[in-house]
Amino acid sequence: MDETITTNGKTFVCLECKNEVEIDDSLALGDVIECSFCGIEYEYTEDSEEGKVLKVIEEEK
Amino acid sequence: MSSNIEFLLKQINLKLKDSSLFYISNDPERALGLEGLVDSYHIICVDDSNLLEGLKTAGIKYFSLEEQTGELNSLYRNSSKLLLEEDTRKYIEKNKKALNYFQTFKISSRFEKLIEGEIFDGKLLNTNSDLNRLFEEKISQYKALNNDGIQFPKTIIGRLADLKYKSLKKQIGEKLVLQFNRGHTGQGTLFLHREDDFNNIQAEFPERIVRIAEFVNGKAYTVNTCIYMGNVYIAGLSYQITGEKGLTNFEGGTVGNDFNYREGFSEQTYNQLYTQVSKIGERMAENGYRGLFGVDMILDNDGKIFIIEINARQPASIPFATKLQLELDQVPLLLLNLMAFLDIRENIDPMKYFSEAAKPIEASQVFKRNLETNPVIIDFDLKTGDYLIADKEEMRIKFKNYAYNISQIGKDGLLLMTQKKGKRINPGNEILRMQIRQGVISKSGRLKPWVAEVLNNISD
Repeated sequence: MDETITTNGKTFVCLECKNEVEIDDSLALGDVIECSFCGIEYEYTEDSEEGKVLKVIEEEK
Repeated sequence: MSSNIEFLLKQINLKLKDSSLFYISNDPERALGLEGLVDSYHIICVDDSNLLEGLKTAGIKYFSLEEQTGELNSLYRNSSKLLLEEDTRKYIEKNKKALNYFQTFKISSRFEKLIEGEIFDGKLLNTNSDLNRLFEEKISQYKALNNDGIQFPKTIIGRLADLKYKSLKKQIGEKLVLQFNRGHTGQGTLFLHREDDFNNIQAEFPERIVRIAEFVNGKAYTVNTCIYMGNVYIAGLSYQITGEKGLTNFEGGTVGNDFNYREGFSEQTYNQLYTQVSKIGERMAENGYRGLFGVDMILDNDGKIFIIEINARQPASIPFATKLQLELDQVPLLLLNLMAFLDIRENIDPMKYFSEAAKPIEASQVFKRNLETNPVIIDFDLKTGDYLIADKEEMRIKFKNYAYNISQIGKDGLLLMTQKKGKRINPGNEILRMQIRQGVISKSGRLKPWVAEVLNNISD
């Protein structure tokens, strides 16, 4: 099962820590961003009608 | 090599006839163990590692994206991203056969999709990502396994905003350990020494669901495990070297394994360990889990084992432990893992297997991690290979030969695994690794000072 979230305007709520994270205007498809609170990383994978779709990246070490 | 292992390898190679097996990972070290023994084996990695020189010399088939492009640090280190790169796809295209198998260190749903149709028409030799998550994530693993007499420390799961420090202490114990469902770069486990530690975390993450357990005083051990044909096979018992200052900044950060140290172990401890880990494996097998996983535990001062964490993937010490098992003519867990997914059926008694595979081995590995809060760039040039200690007072080392695994190292040598000059290392990740044929832990459970001295002399 994919873990994805959709941004709401310029923010999204982190799936792990539930904090609201702001995103930068320069975010482009394929970019990786991390939650500024807990460090969990997401990849901006596509656009939907609701907003930018972010997919959790599994940590591999 | 024993005739038994040769026989099993022959079956694997027969099964993989007209097939290729690609192991995909960031770091080529993760893919080591059976390279050179499985005919159709290819290592596909992101890193242009100093280890590649040794692979080349040994004739191991590999592809490194960074080596191919001549560019370090350009790709976000992730196996799925690696698969999407054109150069990677070209390598696979060139080396694929009628049937193509893929393995990776830690499975994700994205990786599954890419392999099973989205890009490749391959077959995965990993447990599936749903099962990985169920047993890997700290909350769900506890919920799924906290029964049948599995000995976890006293634990409470809840939303941080709903929890109160004093009440937790009353219910659980004086010292508390907090685990997030998942953490990043070793920051998933926190030791709460005082109320302020708890309050700060609560203020930062009020909505976060956490697992809070009693801190068990004792020694940390870890075992590698494989579910094969529904049975649970246990090997690679090692003392987990954690929290060594100068090598990690995290109190619970792992910096190595000592396969020889068994302080506090009695026959009863081995029996308890076997029972506990078997129960966990059986529960996982009931859910359909196959293949490798790891179990971390604490042996307390009264001889009781407490399970603290399950890693539902290939344990990090598997490449090293596989080489050690092969030297001892033990069937490596990694071989059983491959047999589990290739459906090669043999009768191996799990208890007999454990009694042999749990014996101490004079070998250890120790890592130095990036202690900074930011990524660092490696600014020294040091080969991966066989070294000797040239100056025992200053603890300076001298390069002898290229080597990439412990089996290429003599009794007095040490294998140093280094990073390429210019490589960016994220906080908490590994800068250096040393493998040697001796224990490195003193009776008290602390790392012998000379080991840290060698690693620090190199990297400072």
